Amino acid sequence: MSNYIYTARRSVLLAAVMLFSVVTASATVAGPDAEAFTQRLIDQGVQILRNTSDAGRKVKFREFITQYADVRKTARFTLGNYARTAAPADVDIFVDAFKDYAVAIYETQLDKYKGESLKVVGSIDNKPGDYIVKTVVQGGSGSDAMRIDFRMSGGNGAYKFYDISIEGAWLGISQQEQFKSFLEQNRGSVPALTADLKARTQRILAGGK
Amino acid sequence: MSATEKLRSALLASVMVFSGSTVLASEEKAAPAAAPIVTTQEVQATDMNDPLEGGNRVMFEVNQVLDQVLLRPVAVVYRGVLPDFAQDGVRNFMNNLNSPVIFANDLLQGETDRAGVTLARFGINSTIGLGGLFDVASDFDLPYHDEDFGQTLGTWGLGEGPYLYFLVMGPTNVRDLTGFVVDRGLDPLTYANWGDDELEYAPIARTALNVIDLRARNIDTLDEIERSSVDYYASIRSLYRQSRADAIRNGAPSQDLPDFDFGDGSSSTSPNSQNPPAQ
Repeated sequence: MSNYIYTARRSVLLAAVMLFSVVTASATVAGPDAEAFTQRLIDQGVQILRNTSDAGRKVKFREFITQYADVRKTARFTLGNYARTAAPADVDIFVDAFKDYAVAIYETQLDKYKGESLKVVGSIDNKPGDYIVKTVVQGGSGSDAMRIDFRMSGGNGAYKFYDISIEGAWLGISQQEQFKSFLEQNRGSVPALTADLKARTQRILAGGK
Repeated sequence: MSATEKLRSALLASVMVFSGSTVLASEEKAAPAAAPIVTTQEVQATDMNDPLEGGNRVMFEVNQVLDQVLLRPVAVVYRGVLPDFAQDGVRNFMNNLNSPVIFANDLLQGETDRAGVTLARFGINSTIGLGGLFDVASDFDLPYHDEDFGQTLGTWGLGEGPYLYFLVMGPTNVRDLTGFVVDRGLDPLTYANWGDDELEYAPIARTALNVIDLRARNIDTLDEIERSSVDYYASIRSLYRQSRADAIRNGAPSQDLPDFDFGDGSSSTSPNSQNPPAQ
């Protein structure tokens, strides 16, 4: 258990890992562009949320989310197959309700990280124009670096994010499972889901500290 | 008590530990890129792997009542009464006690470097860390990581099997349940002779304290998930399955994320084709 022996082994392993990372990273060169964009996005978002004295904070954050989140893409994904089978008008109304719901969730989640920041630590090229940008939470209590990943699409300095994961669990995937369960129990009624989302949004906003 | 009886008692006594020890044991740290990319059954968004959903949902509802009536109130008191450093001490102590199981699973997964970290942590924290109360090893750049036999089976390529939700135990699946039983066998404390006096209750006390501490750490998180979930049961199921897959990969990125585009032209793939938001 000598620290010396352990450190020597770690150095060898670390060197091997870095070599491996360089080799594979070159094969999956992702988005330094996407990474820089995400860091700017995070800084901007955190800036808005940190400004607790600003009365228009909620409105500003909503605009921010609308501008940079591909809410429609996420919303349609969460409907699963029902996105294609439901009436387009119902889907549009659902997308709007989902936007309110998502903003409420994001706001209460990000509120918890008030005073902390997210730091971009890397990215992965999922497929052309589709990236996962990895961040960790910095600061705050304890030394745990919580992992938060963003799924982005776009290119050439213009990206939108459409899903977020916390410690490896993706919110969009979880939402799709929930909505699918709900729709199956409600004869596939997207309006019913929309109504439930609206009620739930109020609950989230009321319960947020 | 024979060894078999001890194992059975330990299993019975330890069953509650699972309800908190899975997805929301957020003390788990992400591993660096050294983690191998293994082939496991990735969580597909549309494949919920829950053939026993009816029974699972009943268990879930009953467990919710138990939680509201008993476990959560106790956890709230625990969180309110015990100072932060004491709660940290409990968590450090529990993690340290679990070292043999983590070490065994590190080895079984061929992760000799991580096994070395576990061994070093156990040595340092048990001595300088005063029986595990203090996580001194983290200051020596030896961070904590968790492993269990369910993850080991996952790294060996075994799929998760049907999702299960048990009373008290919480979310699990066939593979992880098997792993849980094996881990009780791997835990040397299972075979310790606690005698016939007060120490006889040490295993139960350990389990109870472990469960309460974990529940206390997740009060706000679970409250939020429940508040924002359209289907809380489905939320927990999804988060559990994704979290387990992540743990098996040791934090490495998923190879198999679902495609958000349906190919029917109506989903935007670039900002330029975004439909204007409805007013």
